[in-house]
Amino acid sequence: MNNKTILLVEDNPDDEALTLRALKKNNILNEVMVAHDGVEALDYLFATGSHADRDRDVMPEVILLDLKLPKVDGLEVLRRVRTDERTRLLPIVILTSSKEERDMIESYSLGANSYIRKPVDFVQFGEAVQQLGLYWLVLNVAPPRVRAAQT
Amino acid sequence: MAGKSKVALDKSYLRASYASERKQAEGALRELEGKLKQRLECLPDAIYINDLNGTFLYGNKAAERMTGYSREELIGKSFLEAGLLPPEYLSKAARVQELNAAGKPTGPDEIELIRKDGRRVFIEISTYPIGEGDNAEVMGIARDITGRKQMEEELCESEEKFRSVLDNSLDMVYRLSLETGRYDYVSPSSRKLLGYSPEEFIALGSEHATSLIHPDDIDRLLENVIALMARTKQDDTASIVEYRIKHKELGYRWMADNISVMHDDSNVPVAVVGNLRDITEQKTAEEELRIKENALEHSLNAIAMSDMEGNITYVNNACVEMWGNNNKEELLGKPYWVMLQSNDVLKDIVGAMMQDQSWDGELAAKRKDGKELHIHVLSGVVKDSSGNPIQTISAFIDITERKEAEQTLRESEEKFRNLVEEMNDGYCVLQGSRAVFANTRSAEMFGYTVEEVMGKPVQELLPPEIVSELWEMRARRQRGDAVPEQYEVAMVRKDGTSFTTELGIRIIEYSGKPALSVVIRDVTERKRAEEEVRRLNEELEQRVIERTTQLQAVNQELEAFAYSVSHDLRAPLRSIDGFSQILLEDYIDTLDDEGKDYLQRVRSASQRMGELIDDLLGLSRVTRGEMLHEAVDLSAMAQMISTQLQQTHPERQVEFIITPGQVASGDARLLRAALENLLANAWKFTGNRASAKIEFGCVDDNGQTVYFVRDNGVGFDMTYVNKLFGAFQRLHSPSEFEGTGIGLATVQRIIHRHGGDIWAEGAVGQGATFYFKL
Repeated sequence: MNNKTILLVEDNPDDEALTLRALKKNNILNEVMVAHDGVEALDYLFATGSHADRDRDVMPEVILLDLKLPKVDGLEVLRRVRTDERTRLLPIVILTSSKEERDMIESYSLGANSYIRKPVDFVQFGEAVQQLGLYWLVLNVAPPRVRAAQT
Repeated sequence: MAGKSKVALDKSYLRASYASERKQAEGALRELEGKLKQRLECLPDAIYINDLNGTFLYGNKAAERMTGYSREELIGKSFLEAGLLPPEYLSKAARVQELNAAGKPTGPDEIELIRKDGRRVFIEISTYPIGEGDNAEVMGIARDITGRKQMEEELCESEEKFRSVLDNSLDMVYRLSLETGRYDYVSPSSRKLLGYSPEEFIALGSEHATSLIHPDDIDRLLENVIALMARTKQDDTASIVEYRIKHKELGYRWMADNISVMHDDSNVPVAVVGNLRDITEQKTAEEELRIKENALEHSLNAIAMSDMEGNITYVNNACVEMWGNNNKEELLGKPYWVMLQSNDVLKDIVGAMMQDQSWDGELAAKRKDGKELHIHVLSGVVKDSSGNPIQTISAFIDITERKEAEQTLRESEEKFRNLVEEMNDGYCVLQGSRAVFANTRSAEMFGYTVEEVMGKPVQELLPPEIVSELWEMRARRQRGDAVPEQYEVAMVRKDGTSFTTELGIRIIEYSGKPALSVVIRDVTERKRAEEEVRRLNEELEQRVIERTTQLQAVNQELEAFAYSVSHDLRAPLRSIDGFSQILLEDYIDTLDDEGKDYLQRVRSASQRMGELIDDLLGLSRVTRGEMLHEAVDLSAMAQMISTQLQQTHPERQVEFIITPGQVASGDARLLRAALENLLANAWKFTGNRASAKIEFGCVDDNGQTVYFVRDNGVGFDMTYVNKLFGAFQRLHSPSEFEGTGIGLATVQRIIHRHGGDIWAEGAVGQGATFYFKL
């Protein structure tokens, strides 16, 4: 379980802190990689930019993706991930404040695996994070790892 | 001459012989003579005796009366000597003498005698030789037949006279013998009447003659003849029968046959005598008269006749009908004005006719039933052959309809004339290139007066370029090219200013000749208005585009705003709630109860705000977005929502009564949101009821379906009913019932978006009913 990484894409530091606390509180102790905008998320995934030197064979077990992000928004990140051979099978959970129908439709259309709306009530949020971690990191069988094409 | 001398010789011989014998027979003779003489004298016929030479020996009294001579004057003389015999009978007398000499009697012969007084008498005479040889004598018996002769002659003359009458008669007389079955007399008129000469006709025989009679008439003729034959001599045995008989050349002719049957003394019919008269012309005239009378009777025109006193003598059916009478008897024999009611003009007509004048004219009259009539009357006087007026005759033609039509036409014409004069368009009629009619407006339009325009050629009124344009159009029209009935032409007024017209041209007939009907409309103002409208339209379009763009921008902004609210407004709330909770968890020991309570209040406030934001977003979502129209099963939807509510709050006992099968047309997503709100409301406000009941159904309101959601919850005060549907309006405090006050506003917006209506009824503590129709 420990070698499974979670990629959290979240620009709001409060939300980041709360999410990390909720994970910790629920004994989800996996490594959490936090990207604060879409560009950083993509850099990480494709080992480019500031993450150019990372091991590109290591991919997160699940990506928790906020939609409203600076620079490149969540939907764009999702699109890029899904169009790239190396990342297209990665489980992606949309974790957002938005209840907008078009956001849900767009996300699922682009291949999101799950869509979770962050509740205001922190207790409820905690429960959601617990179930999320349990499901994606324990119950869910991840797709076979795709070897990155050597370019 | 030889005969004469011989007679003279014999006479002297006889005389000598008679004297010698006389003495011997004297006694006997005297006796006989006495007896004979007595008897002979009594006979009415003349008796005489003479010798063979013709010398008289004896004559009786009747002989004396016959001849006028006395016996003494004649005895001893011969016929010749006595001068009795007219010379034309001498040869006859000689022949008698010869026969007598041969001992033969003669007669009776008719001869004439010359009496002593010179008169001639006819006698019938017979001679008888008496004795032989030299003593032979001749006795003659003669009778005076002058009377009979005269009668015969008269008869003959009379017959001739009648025959000439018959022969010259225009009628054809015939006699058909019933004994022989043949015509024994046919008068010469047969030639004229039938084309046959009497001989030809007689030769035809009765059988053939009968075949000439028209087959339709033959039976009638024969019946008449048979009836006549059955009558006796004492009856009237004549009868006139009319029949057709075929002329040899002229075909059938009508005859009047005055037929009589002749009977003999024992009343046996012996002959049919007929008198044929050609009545063909009369018949034709009768027929013609009958036809004319028939025509008169059946004439559609009412016809009446009166005598010169003005009394009606004839009316035909049309007349009875026209004046509204029931039958002819109502009019016949009555004075004219009975029919003509009390109309003074009609009295004038009658008066005029009484004075032998005719009258021809139109007038208004009244029928018997009082109905108004317009009639045309033609009256005149009929005169006899000597020129005296004997009858008046009047024909009445009902012209009411024509009069009414004329009136209508006149009114119509006036209406149209007024219309043409008062209409704002110019109107003129062109024949050739001249205006034969122009209304005032058409002249004014061009700056002329009507008088200036009328009869003028168009080229004098308009500049040549316009005329040539008009003529070009006319030429195309005449060639049969498709030319618009209306087209625009730029015109020039008398003062040279120009204006735009629209011409409506049609070919019409005017005063029996082809002409152009021209409607001229000054469209300058219209053109300007059209131009203005076009400009405004363009402006408007431009403005619409601008507005639409603005609206789109606003919409985009709104969307961005809502999106931003959805994402960003909740994030701080989560932080507030989240960190408050962390404080409560991590620093529980350093907080007193009051501090903990404050933190709880912070948390519930932020959660409540989260709900508010969510509801607001929901409301704005209802307003935005496209609507679908589909069949929505509201009953099934309500059923599903009720099940969800029960599952969410399994501890509550709520009875749902849902009328099944209510299908409406609308947007399923929105209607679902509305129903969810209404049912959740009902659920919420029945929270404190031990036996809660929620109902969904519908009622009919004037053919429109009205749905309702009813509960037996806390209800509301109708005073505040108008606040129910306002956003953020609440009738209960959050401590009583939670909620944001946006639910019903959302429902109302959804119903309104469907073009429907929503209203509520309720009372405090007695539940509430929400009605809506779509």
